Formats: sequence, C-alpha cells, structure tokens
Amino acid sequence: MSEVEVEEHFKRLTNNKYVEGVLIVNGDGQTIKSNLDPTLNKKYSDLITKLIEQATFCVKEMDETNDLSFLRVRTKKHEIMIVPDKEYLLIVIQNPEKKPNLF
Amino acid sequence: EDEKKKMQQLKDISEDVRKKIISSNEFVEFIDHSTKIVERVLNENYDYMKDYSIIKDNEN
Repeated sequence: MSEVEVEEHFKRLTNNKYVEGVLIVNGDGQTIKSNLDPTLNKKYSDLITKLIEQATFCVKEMDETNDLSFLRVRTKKHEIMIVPDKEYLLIVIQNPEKKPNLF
Repeated sequence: EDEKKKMQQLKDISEDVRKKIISSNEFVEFIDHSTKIVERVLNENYDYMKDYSIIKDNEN
C-alpha cells in the first residue's frame, strides 16, 4: 500500500510539465528513485549531496538549535529544489522559463 | 584504490534494500511531506527572477 503511495507522489512530480528531473537519494548519495539517465543521475546525486551537507553545516554553525528545511537553487537554466530530511533527500529540477507569465 | 571501491559499493544499492526503504513508514512519511512542499513551489506562477520592469516601461 505504501509503495503505491510513494509511486503516486513520484509520478505526480515527474508528470508535471515544468519538471525535468526527480531524484530521491539517501544520506550516502545512493539513489532510491530517479527518472534521470544514470550519468546525469550520478552527477546530481553526488554534487547535490555535497551541497546539502555544506548548507546543513552552515545553518548549524550559525545556530545549533536551527536546521535546514528547504534549499532552492536558481540558475540561468533551471531551478533545483531540495528537501532534506534526517535520512533522505528529494531533488526536483524544474524549468521555470516555460511557465506562463501571470501579471 | 580501496577507498574507490568502497565508494562504488556505497553508490550501489541492492533491489532488496531499495524495496525495504520504499516500504518503510519513515520513507513514506518523508515522500508525503517533501513532495507537498515541492508541489506548492511548482504551482507558483510568479517568476521572481523575471525582469518585469521591461513590461512596465512599455506600458508607460
């Protein structure tokens, strides 16, 4: 039952037209789920795991009672959204350029 | 060399372990919580990086 639930959540993200990639990795950078090709997947999981480690350290050093809860990285081409947890990371790459302009 | 091998092993996760993780309560809770946050961001239609001033200038 829970596996079905996980699959549903994952599909909802990968089916979103602005989403270019979804990865779920554990603290060691091992991929649990991903819709990226293996080369790109390895790149993202390795590099984002390092980035999150650094960001978590940064937040903790500033205030040890604080904790990182969400990281958005905006680049010229994408926006990478990362939700960290004790054991897992959800990484979603979106292309916001494609979004309609609302004024 | 040993370090490299160890790292490689760390990267590979067996199908059994993967299944176990996916069906664990902790993982399901994490996915439930984290996908909700991301979906809210995806539903935002305002692009905070866009240079809206160009359009304003044209209006004036």
